[in-house]
Amino acid sequence: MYLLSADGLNCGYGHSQVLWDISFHVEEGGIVGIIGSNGAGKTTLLRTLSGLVPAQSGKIEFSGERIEQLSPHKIVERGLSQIPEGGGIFPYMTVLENLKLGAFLPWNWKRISQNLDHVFQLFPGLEDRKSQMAGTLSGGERQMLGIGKGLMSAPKLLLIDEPSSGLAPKLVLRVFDNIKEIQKHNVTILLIEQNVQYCLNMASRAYVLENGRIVLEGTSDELIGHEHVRKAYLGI
Amino acid sequence: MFAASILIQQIVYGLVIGSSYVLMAAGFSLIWGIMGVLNLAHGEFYMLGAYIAYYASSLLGFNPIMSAIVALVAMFFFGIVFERALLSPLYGRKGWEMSTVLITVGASILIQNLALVIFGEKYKGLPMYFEGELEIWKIVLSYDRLVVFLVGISLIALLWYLLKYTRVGMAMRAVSQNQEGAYLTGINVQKIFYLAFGLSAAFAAAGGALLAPIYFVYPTVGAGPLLMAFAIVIFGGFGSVKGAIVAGFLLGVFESLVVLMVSSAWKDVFVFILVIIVLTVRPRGLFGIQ
Repeated sequence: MYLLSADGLNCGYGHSQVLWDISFHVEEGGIVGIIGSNGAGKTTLLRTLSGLVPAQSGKIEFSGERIEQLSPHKIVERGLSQIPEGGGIFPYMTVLENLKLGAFLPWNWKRISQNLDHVFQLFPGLEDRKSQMAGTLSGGERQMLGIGKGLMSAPKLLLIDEPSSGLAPKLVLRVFDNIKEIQKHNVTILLIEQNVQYCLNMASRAYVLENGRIVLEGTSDELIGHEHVRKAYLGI
Repeated sequence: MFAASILIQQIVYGLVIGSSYVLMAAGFSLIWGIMGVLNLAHGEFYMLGAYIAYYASSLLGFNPIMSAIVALVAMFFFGIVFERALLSPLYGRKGWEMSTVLITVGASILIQNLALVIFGEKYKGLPMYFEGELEIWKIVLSYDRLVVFLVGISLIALLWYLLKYTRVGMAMRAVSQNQEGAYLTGINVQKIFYLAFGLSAAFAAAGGALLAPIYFVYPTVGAGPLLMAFAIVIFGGFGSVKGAIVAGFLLGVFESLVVLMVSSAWKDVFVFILVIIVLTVRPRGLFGIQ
């Protein structure tokens, strides 16, 4: 049984369909990537998985339960957290308040200080800035705060949308180091990235999304060697 | 000119009224910030609070503090029912922001007229409850007003504490700052909507209940405070509770001073001239965002 699987998923907004017949799975414990260029439908896919956009048809199963009909907070309660592009942070609250809210679910709220220690261990930079307004953080710090906030919810699966977006190359490396670190702590990760090189370096398996359909799947090594990926995404 | 003691006395009166304004405006601002709803029936929550306090006091003999608490609790639940029944069906529909304006105007007219039928058109006043007055340095303050002020301040502090430190209050602020982020944090946004609406109705009602022993109660008594809430929220910054607190007290005092130096007939004119100046010089208000 997979931690997350989608089968024949069709999604979109109102009458316009964005994703067609999407099927994929994420096994427990690893990093799985979904790569694709701008407008391929990556973010819509994540929004559907989190329940922000209702699926038009098809099914999503998480930990053996169907979730495609659930509202977003119910999905978070089941252990599926998403870090949207930009971190999904609350700009007029302090870093500490943002992290606390990450532990909003009642069972996490009781263990706030433990989870905080854990997050501050991973991101010492956040502890230094804990009383700063989140909106005044730099792009890289926001991304870290977003990840930290996601971890506060003690998820089984973390969906991360474009962690490299808008960051300088040096910062991108740091953010990806952090993501690898998280994965070592028993959190499964589904990474959505435009930056194919980085994504394939991180993930063990990946799917290629083009014009709303999954056109390729395989292990990262297979994909790196695949002629289409090399031509279209790696520019080799 | 005036003796310093009269001036100070009037400032103190302004703070007393200001505490009621703050209770009114904080909820008005909160609802705008969290839900994007401009609740034009907010004045009716004030009016109902005042009537509840009036009857709790005249029929049941409650003291003003108890009356205010009864009004607060009753209107919290009324606010929840109001939001679920009238507003929640509209969310997400095309043009729903405008629909909520229309529906709250409709509800305001309906509630006012029901009040007219049920409570009558007569102005109702309560006798003084705490007799006597406090005199310090020639400033005279009746115990009734003092109680209003102290209860008002305590309720404002309570609201501040709720929003700043409790789990639900933090979630309310989160929803107002980034609704999608709030969903992804596991916050039940619909629940936050009705809780915030209940809270806003409760505090407006407390504002009305507190002034019931000082002023008269009548079916359209909420119109003035609603207008004032508008002015305060523009002055303090839309969506900012901190702004509503500061601006509420400032405008309460400002109004009091206009009454002293010009006349009570001119107070709204001066208040709105001030609001227009603020809008011209600093459109986002004192603590507004952008």
